[in-house]
Amino acid sequence: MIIFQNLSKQLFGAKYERAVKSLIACIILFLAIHTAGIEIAIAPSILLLTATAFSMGIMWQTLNSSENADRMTGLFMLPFRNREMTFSLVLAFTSYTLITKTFFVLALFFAVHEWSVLQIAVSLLCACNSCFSAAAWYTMKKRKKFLPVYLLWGGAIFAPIFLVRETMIICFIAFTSMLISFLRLLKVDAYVFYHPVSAKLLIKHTKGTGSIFLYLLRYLITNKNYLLNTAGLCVIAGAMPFILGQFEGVNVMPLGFAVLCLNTPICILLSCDPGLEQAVRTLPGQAKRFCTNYCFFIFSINMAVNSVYLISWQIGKSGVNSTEIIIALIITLQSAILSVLLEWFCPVRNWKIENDLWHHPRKYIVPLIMFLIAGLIGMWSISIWVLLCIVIAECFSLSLIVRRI
Amino acid sequence: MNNGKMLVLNDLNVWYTPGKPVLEKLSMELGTNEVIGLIGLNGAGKTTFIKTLSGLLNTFHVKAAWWQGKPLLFRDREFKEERYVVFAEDHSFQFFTFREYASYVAASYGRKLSDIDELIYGFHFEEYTDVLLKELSTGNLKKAYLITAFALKPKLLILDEPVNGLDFQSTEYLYQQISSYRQYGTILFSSHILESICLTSDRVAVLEQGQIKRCFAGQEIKAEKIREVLKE
Repeated sequence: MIIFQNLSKQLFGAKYERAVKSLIACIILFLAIHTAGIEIAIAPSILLLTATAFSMGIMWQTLNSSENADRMTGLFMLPFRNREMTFSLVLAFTSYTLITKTFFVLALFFAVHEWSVLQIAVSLLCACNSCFSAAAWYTMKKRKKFLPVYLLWGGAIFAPIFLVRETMIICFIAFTSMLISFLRLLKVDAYVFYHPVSAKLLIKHTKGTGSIFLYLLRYLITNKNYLLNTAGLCVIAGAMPFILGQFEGVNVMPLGFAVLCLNTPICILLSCDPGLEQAVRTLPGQAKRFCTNYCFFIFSINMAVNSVYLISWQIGKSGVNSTEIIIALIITLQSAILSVLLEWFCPVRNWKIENDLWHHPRKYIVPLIMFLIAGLIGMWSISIWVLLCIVIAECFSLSLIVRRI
Repeated sequence: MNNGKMLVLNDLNVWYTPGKPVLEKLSMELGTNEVIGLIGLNGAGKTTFIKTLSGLLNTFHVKAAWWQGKPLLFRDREFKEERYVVFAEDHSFQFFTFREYASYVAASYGRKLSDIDELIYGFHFEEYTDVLLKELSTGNLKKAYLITAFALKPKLLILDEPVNGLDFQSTEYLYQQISSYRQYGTILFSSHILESICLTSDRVAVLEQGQIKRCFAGQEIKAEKIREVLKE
């Protein structure tokens, strides 16, 4: 119990204030949408699927978070009972996942559609089951034959939601899965959740010249989540022309560029790395030296993804003209500039684990603005040239300002 | 106004929570080409003071601040170009190697690094110059920032707990570097280790309850004496 309390306080704050804030935010979100009278028809299977898949993903990310090693070092140094430690960890991370993340999504679902008490209860059960299952799977990730187990177990959880759609069967499967997770967790060594940085062979890099672009590229390559996000966007970029192309009579192509600006992890590198932010604030001339390169980095990555989109559009649709390339450049450059300005003037601070950053609402401000710009271009094509002038003026004035900071 | 002093601060107040000042009416003067040691118990506000000087905090008020005879703003580019800070806890630019970091810092300050090979040798850092900073141990990481600092030779060098994490050979080499830095500029450094301050400082300032309560200079700087005074 002490271990659970200790971990919970680390995750939620000394007086659990973060849990209270999250719950209040969920209630406000629910009341705001419900009062507004927004209604959307949603199949129960979508609710259960979201509750399961979303919670599972967040729980996995939370368990995998690199900050956990620091958080747990003190705990693992003290003598402890293995089972108490295991279940305290799993319960604390489950509470964190449900309260700070899943409840938000569920509040949204509950607000836009009328659900029965049973459906609400089953969705909560599915969310709990996915957290426990994710914890049990996490303990097996270093085993050789983990993939078939994941596929079988995952298939057993998701198949009834997709195919059978019977509440009783879904509940039975969820309870069974939780029981198997419980039995698995009874046997595991708690140290499986502790992954300190291990000593590695030191690799020498002799050709670097202190380029920030190279620095950020190494950052991107080293961080699997950032790479996966970028690769995922490339896949979306390849498929999107075939989805958006179905809309006749409306210029939907700019919307694709706005969607591809959703590579938000690379837009919060200063927030992610407080040490880097401290150095950038301390050294002279960083507004020019760091921010300009950072802006160019975001622009390059997003433009690379946009190129996939343009090529796909060229192959699958009517072809790409120079105006559309200009639109891509405007949206990508504007998104990069705004992202860097946000990072410089209001970075996200006081986060507990990386997950908080990845799902922070501030990350979505720039994509939202880009959607508005894309909509504007879609409706009035003349606005392209106005926006082009604005972006050029922005670049010119910012290049003058950064020289003085 | 500043009587030829390099840095003058009058009545500096710093807080994290309004109404609970960490530093209160702190006044300090730094001369040119001197070494000033800053000591104080845990929580006395040494790191807060250094972070304020570095321009990292904005919850402060200062009655008067002067740098080389001109009004000082901690975030002014001119001031930043004259000072370099080695923090007690620093994990910046983890994806740079030491050589890349040093060349980036030199370019940021618009100057060349001198004596860098000698410093690398002195700190026994030869093996790690081309390794990413994130791969280095605590002590080696500290050495990377210290070598950059001494090679950069700014007018004001601020070191927060520079001895922490260093092996004894590097610690002695650091003392030599601090002692001989007077020819290039001024060092302000904080430490918990009295001996490190007594061996190198021209003046020792004691930070207590958010203020510089006592100062020792010249013959007064003896570990036993300071220890006795601190116990009072």
